[in-house]
Amino acid sequence: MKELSRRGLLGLGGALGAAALLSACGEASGSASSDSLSTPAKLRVWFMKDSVSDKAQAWLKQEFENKFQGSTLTIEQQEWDGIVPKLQTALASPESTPDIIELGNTQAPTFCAVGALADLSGMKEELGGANLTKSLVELGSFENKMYAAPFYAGSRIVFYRKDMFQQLGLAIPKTIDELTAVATKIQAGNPEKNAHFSGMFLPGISSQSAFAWVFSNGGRLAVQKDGKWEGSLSSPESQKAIAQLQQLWRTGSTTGTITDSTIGSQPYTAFNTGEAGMFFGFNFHLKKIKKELLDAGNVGYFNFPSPKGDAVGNPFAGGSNVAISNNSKARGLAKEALKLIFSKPFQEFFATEGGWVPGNLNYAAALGQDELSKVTVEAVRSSVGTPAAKNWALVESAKVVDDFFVAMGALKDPVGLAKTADAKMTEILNSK
Amino acid sequence: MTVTSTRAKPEGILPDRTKPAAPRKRRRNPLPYILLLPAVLIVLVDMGYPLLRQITMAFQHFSLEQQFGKPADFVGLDNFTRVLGDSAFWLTLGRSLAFCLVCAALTMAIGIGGALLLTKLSRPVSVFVQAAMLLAWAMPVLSSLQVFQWIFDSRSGVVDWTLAGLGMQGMAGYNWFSNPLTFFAVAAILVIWMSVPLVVFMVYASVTQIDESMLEASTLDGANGWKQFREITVPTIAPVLLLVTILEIIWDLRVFTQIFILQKNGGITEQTNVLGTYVYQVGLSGGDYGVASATALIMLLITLLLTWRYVTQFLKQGEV
Repeated sequence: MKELSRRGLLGLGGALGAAALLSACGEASGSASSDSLSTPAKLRVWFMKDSVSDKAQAWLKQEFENKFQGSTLTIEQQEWDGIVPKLQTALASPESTPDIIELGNTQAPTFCAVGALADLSGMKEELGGANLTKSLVELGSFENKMYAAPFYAGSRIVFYRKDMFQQLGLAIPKTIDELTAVATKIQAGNPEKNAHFSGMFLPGISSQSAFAWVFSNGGRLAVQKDGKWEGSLSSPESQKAIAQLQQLWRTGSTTGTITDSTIGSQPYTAFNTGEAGMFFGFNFHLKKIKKELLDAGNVGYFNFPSPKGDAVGNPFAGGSNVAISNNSKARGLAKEALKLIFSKPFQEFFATEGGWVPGNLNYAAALGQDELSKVTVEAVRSSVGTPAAKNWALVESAKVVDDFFVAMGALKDPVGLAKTADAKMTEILNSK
Repeated sequence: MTVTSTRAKPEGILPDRTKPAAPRKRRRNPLPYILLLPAVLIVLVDMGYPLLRQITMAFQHFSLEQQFGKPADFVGLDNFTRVLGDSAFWLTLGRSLAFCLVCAALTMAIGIGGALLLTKLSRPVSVFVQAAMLLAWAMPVLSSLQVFQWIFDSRSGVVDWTLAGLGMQGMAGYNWFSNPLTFFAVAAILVIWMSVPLVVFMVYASVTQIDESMLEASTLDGANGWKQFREITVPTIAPVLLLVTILEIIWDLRVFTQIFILQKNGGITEQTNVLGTYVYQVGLSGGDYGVASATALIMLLITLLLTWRYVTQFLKQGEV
């Protein structure tokens, strides 16, 4: 009864807007118990869509709840679209924050810099130390402290229809120009006489796919000069890449004008319906390809080519970091859960179930020795990330780069729009 | 002292002479105030606190660091000068005003027309139409948005298919969301479609209250339909028209969900921003809560300016 009336009073306090009082209470009790392991807690974990397989999720929940009797771990799956504003709001208060969060690697620098995440430097060795993916450690660190640990990495590879290549006498392209030529020939050939046929499925909205052209030509989205960031889509290298892209969209792909992000994130759909000869996707998309196509041996894959054909191209370094919210009331238990995430079984699930390269490279061997894994690891190794700038997440959520590539897909003016986008990036990246 | 005691006496003796006593009694009874309290408190907490917070933030440098606990500095009118100096803001404002006025005007015109039409329909048909409109009105925004996106889909949408079938070659596979003009056309259809029913209901309800004999008399005097509408219907239902117009303008100026969701489908975010999505982008996505608060305050001011004349007129009519 006493308990009930106390709660009732607290509720009334909340209703009266005594938020300050309440949050003060929360803080007092929070700091006392936040690092303790003996107080049971209800951990909330945010994983992104397509990141962690169901098996791995179930394993984590069970292991944690067995190890810490009385505590629970709930995984809430989040959508990539709009996640940055959601995190900005949720992480800011102890009442609403999830305890463990997955952050897109491009968003990690922002959250590390603003004090939203708990310092993980102390447990870096325990999580994997030198075996952690280096580029992801960099993106998850700020002023030499690691706040977000490498979760997993992945990069796109090109899937193609072997039967179409054979029918038209095409070979696997070794250069970017050859890729465009092959796509053009398939599109002109249209072997299945399909009304919506595209040589290569490459929607304008999928800017992360288009980054491969920019990076392989030596271009970058933004560069740091004398401590200041500068948008770099106008550089000769980036412009060359955009010219190649627009050539592809003119003759080898009808999908440049696709602006629906959902369609963009499922590049295998057009491939499955026989409406595309190639698509640029992740290794785990293989599981989404129609069984008949796979069984007939009609599906092949290769690495994104380089401009000169002397090496593997440089696709975008996709991936995630994982972190603990600084406002979590159960940081101690969250750290224990993080240790489970970096244990061998969980890390290997990435490779065996999801097809991602695990954050601790010691366990990458679980990907296997087959051709697909080989191609994937090669893609990850040569991949390039977005700028490790504190404000990069803000550039992303302002859709500067997305809007730019959508316009390129619609064959709009590359020079003028690159200038505008660069100016915007420069402004956002250097603002305090 | 003596005065009160002498007054108290007749009161006790003559309880029926309530004229002076009644107001006094009301003043003493605290019940009305107690009954008012929850509503006032809810308004204060729900609207007052965020508004105060917003006003404070508009004068502060408040970005992500402040969101995560760093103390915020007061910067005077800095945020306001930054908003007003941003050409994107002025473009957005112009776009918003145009969108709001077009939508509000069309909604009112279609709504009033629909209401008048309803009065002429036979009862079963009228009930059917009202039920259909109630459904449109009660439909969750996100569901209607999904349906509209399907209708206007570039690959399998029925609109492109029909237009192409009618011989408009360029319309096969046309992406409505990649061009600002067609983007706003679709958004306007959706916004109007969702707000017309309310106008119809409110106007229909008040039109049916008009004294039949007045209309009859005017017919005998030789007034035609248009004249009746202008000189009898409109003046009689003016308070309702004013109220609905104010609401429409406010709603259409702060439209958010429809534009926000369609933007995800469009990839031309900057060219399709309206005030609501602009504030969201600067504040929540852009992490600049100070500037966003300043923009929101300016937006509030514009809404007040736009509706001021209507509000004062409405209050005057309310008195009469």
